[in-house]
Amino acid sequence: MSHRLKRPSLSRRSFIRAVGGAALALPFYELAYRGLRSSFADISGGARRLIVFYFPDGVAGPSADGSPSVWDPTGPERGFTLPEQLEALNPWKDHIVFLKGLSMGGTDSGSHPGGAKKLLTGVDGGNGESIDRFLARTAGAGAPHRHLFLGAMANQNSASGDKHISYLSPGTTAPPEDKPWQAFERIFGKKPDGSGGGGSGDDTDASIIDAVLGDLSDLRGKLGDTEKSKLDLHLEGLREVERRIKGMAPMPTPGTCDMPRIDVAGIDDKNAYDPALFPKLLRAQTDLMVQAMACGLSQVGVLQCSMHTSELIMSRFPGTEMYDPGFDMRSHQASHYGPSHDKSKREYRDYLLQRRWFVSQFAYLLEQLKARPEGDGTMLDYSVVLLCSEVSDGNTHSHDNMPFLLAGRGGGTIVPGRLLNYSGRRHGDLLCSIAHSMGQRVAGYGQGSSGPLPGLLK
Amino acid sequence: MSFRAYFFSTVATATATSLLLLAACKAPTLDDQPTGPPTDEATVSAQGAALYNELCSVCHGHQGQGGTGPKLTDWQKGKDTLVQIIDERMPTGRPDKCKGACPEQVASYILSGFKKTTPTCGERSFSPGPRRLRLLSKREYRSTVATLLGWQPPQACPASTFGYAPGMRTLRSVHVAGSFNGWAKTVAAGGWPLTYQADKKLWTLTQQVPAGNHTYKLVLDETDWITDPANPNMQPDGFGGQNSVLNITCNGDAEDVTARLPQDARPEDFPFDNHAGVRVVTSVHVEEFRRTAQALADKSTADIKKLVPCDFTGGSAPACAERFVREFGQRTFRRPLRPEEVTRYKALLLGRKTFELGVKATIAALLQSPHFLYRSELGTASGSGTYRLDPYEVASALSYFLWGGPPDDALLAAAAAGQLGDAASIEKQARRLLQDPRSRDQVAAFTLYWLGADAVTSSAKSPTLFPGFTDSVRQAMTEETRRFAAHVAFDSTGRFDELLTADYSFLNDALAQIYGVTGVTGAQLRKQSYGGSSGRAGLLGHGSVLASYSHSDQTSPIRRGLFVRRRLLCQELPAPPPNAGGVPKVDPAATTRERFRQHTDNPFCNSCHKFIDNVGFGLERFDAIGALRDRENGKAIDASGDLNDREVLGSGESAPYSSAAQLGQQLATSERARACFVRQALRFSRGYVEDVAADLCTLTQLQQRFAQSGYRITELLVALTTSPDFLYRK
Repeated sequence: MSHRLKRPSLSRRSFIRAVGGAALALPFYELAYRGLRSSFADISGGARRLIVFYFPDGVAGPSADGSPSVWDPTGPERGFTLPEQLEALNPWKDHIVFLKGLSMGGTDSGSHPGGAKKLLTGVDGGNGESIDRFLARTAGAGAPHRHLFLGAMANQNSASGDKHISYLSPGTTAPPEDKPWQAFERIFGKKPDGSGGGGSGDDTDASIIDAVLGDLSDLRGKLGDTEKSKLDLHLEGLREVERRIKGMAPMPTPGTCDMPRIDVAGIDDKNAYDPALFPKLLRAQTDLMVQAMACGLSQVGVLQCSMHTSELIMSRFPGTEMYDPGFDMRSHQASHYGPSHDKSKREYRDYLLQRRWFVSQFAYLLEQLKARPEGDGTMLDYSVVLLCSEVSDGNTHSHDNMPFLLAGRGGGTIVPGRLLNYSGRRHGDLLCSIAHSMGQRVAGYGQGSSGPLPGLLK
Repeated sequence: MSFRAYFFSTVATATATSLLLLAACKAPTLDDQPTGPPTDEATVSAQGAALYNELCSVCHGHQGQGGTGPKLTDWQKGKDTLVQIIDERMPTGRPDKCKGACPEQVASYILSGFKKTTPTCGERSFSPGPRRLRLLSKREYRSTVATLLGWQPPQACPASTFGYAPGMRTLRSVHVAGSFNGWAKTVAAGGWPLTYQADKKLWTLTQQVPAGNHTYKLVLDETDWITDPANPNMQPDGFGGQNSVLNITCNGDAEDVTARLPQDARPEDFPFDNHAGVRVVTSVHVEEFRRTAQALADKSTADIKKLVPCDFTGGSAPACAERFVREFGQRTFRRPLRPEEVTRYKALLLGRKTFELGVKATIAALLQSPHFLYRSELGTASGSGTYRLDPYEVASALSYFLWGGPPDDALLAAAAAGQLGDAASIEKQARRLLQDPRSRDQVAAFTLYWLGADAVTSSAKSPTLFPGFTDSVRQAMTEETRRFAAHVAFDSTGRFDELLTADYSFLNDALAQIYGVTGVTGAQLRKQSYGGSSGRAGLLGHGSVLASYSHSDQTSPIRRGLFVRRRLLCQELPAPPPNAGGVPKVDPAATTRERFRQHTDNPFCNSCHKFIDNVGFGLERFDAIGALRDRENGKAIDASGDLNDREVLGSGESAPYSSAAQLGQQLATSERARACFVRQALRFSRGYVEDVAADLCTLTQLQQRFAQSGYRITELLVALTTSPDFLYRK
C-alpha cells in the first residue's frame, strides 16, 4: 500500500480540522484542491474504495416456467451482448465485469429478507459482519469517515432492521441515512447550499471528547463480555470523531475534490417519502457519495435504494419511461410479473422498465466516478463498484444466479470488460475478491467461500 | 415548578447520597434468586408444548395430526432421531429458530402424545435477562432532555385568519393553497376553503397554521390564483409572479431536538423503538449526539444565572463549579456522580476561558457521556452469576418503562434512601407513576408501536385515489390511536378487550368524514361514537392501522391478516414459498376478495393463506386509507370470515365472524390474544423478544395476574414491574 506513505504538502492537521467542521476559516475544498490534487498523481496498486449500489426486488432472471435469464449478457467472455435490462451499461461495458451464476446458497431461498441478510455478509440470517463494514474498519480505517451508508427512502414505513443490508456485527444492522442534506452537513461541515459551518475555534471540542472518552473507558472497565462489544463500537465511533476534531486522521487518498454540492431543493422532512422525489433523492445521495470520496473523506460506502419487498411507487417517477400518474406500479408488485417473460403483461413490462431505471442510475454513478481524474486515470479506475439486489429473479425469489456485477479497475487489480461464468460458486467468493482488491487478503468471506473467484482478479 | 426551584429541590436528593452508599454495601437478600424454570418432566413438556405451538403446529397440526407436514402421532424411529431431525431441519427453512434445549423439549412433547401438562413454576423459576446498557431511544432522549433542561410542554400555535373581499364579483369558492397544503388546486385536493359571510360581504377562514415560513396564494373558483390582498408580505414565486408570505413562530410545532439522531433500529420481530441489543452507537450516532448536545448546551446556557445555582465570580468559582457538576450531573446521569467524574467535569468546566463557556462545555460533555446516553441494567453481582439492579437502576427502569422518560425527584430520593429493592416499594412507585400524565403518553406510544401504526406517517398513498389523505390526516390518525389507547387504559374500563371492541374513537372533522361518521366539526379530536352499521370497532377500525397495512392504491388482506396474526396473536407463519406470486392484478370488475380467491382456490396456497386472507377479509369495508366503503367496483362487500385456529395454529378450530366488529370480539375474548398482549408488554419492558420456553414461568405468572385483574392494562404494567424478573440480570 505504497500510496499510504505519500503525504501532501498541505498540513494534515489543518486539512482535517477543516473537514471536521471545527475550524472553517477557508472553505476546506479550496485548501484540499490546491494542496492535494497533484500530490497523488503517481499512485497505483489496489482499489482505494468500494461503493455498493443496491436496488430492491431482484431482476427478470430465469423465469418460473424455465426460460433462461433475461438479465445475463450473452456471448463470449469478451464481445458479449447486453440484454434490455442492462442497456444503460452499453457505454460502460469496458469498465465492468459481468458475473453469471453466483449463488447465495439454499437457506431462506425464496425469501427477500433471507436474501438481504446474506447479501453482504455471506452468512445465513445476517449472522456476520458485512463486507462493507469489514473493509471500513480495515482498508478504510484511516479515512475521516470510515463508512458511508446512504439511503433513498430506505427507512420508509418504519422499516425494521432486516430491510437494511449493512451489518455492523452478526444480526445487527444500522439504519442508512435517508436525508442527504443531513449527511452532507456531517461530511462537509456545511449545508448543501454552502451556508453554515464554523466551530468553537478553541480546543473545547477536544476537551469535551476527552471527558466523554474518560467516562466511556470507566464504564468499559466495569463490564463483562456482554456489552463490551457495544461499547467497543461506541469507542470506535468516538475515536473516529476525535480524529476528525483533533486533526489526527491519517491523510486519505483523494481524487479531485471540486466544490461539493448536492441538489436537495424542495425536499424536506415532510415530503422525504414522496415517491415522485425518489429520483432526486437518489441523485443527491449518489453525488454526495462520489464527492465525499473524491475529497478523500471516505473509502467505503453503500447506497441503498428503498428496501426489499419495496412499496416504492416507481410509476410516479416524473420524466421516466415508467411514469403513469394514473396507476401505482410498485417495485415489489411488478417483481411478481408471473410465471413467464410475457410482455403482454403490464407487470412484466414495468418490471423491465424499473430494472432498466435502477441500472441507469448505476450508470450515472459510474459516469460521476469517471468524470473525476485520479492518479493516471479516473476515480473509476481506482474503485470497486458493486451492483446488487437481494434475490435473482423477482418472481421466483431464487438465491441462485445472482444479479451481481463489478465496475471499476480496482486500482489495477481487476481487468474489466469481461463476462465471467461462476456457476457453482458462492457469492462469498465475490465478497472475498472485493476484499483482496482492497488489499485485505482474507481466505474466504462468509459461508461456503473458498477464496477469491478464479480469474476475476489479476 | 420554576426551573430554579426545580434545581434547588434536587439538592436534597444529592445530600442523601451517603445513605445510598450504605444501602449499596448491604448484602442483597438472596431469597428470590432466580433458578430458571424447573427441569421436571411436566415443565419440560409444557415448554415443548409452547415451542411446538409456536413453531411446528402450523404444518404438523396442534395434536400432531399432520397437515402440510407429516403427522407425528405414530413416530417409530425413537427420540434421538426425532431430536436430531428437529435440530438439523426444523422448522423448515428456519432451523435456527429451534436450537439449544428446544429440539429436546419439542421431542418430549411430541412423544408424550401431545399431553397438556402444567409447569411447576415457583416464585424463583424465572430466567433473568442479560445485563444491558440500554441506549435511550429518540423518544426517550427527547423526553429526557426536556425534563433535564426544564422545558415547558409545547404551546399551541395561534390560528391565522384569511379574508377576501370579492367586491362586485360573485364567486363559487375561495380557497388557500400554499406550501402548507401541497398547493392544493382544489378544495377536494386539500385546499383550505374560505366561507362567505353574506352580511360582511367577505370570504373568511380561521385556520391553525403550523410553525414555519410559508408561501401561499388565494384561489378563486379553483382557477384564478392571486396573492392575498390583505397581506403585504410577498416574494417572487419563480414563475414571474408573487406569492404571499406567512411566517408562523410558536413552539407548538417546536423543532424536534432529536431530528438529527439516526432512526432507532429494530429487529424484524420486535415492534418497539427501545430494543436493547441492536440499537448501537456508530460514528454517525457519535457525530449527531455531539451536534445535538452542542446545540442544547448553547440553547440552555442563554441565561447562565438561571442555570447555575451559586455565585461563580472570583474565588467562588471552584466551589460553585463543583456544586453545578454534582447537581446537574446527577440529573443527567440519573445517579450521583462518582468522585472521579466530579473531578473530570469540574476540570473541564474550570479549564474554559470563562465560567459561562465552562458550563456550556460541561453540559455538552455530560450529554455525550455514555452514562447519559445509556441507562444501565448491569446490576451488582448477587452470587451464582446473577446480578441485581441497584436502586438507581431500578428508578430508571421504572421511569423509562412507565413514562418513557427520566426518574423524577421522588424516584431518585427513593433510590437514595435505598428503597426500590423489593416488590412492595417498587409497586408503590409504579402505582404513583401511573397516576402521572406521562404514563398516558407511554401507553399511547406502546400501542402505536405494538400495532406498527406509526407507519401511516410515511406510507405512500396514491394522490389520485386519495387526494384528501394529507399530512394532517396522517397526524390525526396517529393521534387518534394514541388518545384512544390512553383513554381506554386510564379513563374507561382500563381493560384489554375494550381496545378491540370499543364502538367509539377520537375523531376530528377530517377523520369523521373518512370514517363515514356525521356530526363532527373542527380540527380537534374528540370522543365520538361510530354509530351506524359500518362494523368499525376498536383498534382494528383505526385509520392508522388500516392504512399502515394497505398498499398505496388498494387494501391488502394479506398484510392486514398477517398484522392480526403477528401483532395481536403472536403467531408466526412460514415464509411464502418461492414463486408464490404477487398481489393479484387490479381488476375493475371485481372486489379485492374476489381477486384474492386464487389463494383459497389453490389448495397449496390455501394451506397458509387460510390463516391470513380469512382474517384480512373482515376489514374489507375499509379501504386503503381506512375510509368506509359499502361497495367496491359496484359490488357489495363481503366482510365475513373466520379467525380460524385462533388459539393455536394447526388446530383447525373455527372462529367465524361476519363483520369487523365481530372480528374484534373474537380477538378480545381470545386467550391467545391476551397472552400475546402480555408478551408484547414484556418485550416493551425488557427490550428484547421473550423465549417461550425459558420464560415460560414468567409468562405464565404474568398471564395469571393479568387475568386476576380482569385484564386491566395498568395492572399488567404493575405486574411487569413487580415480577422478580424486573430486578435480576445475568
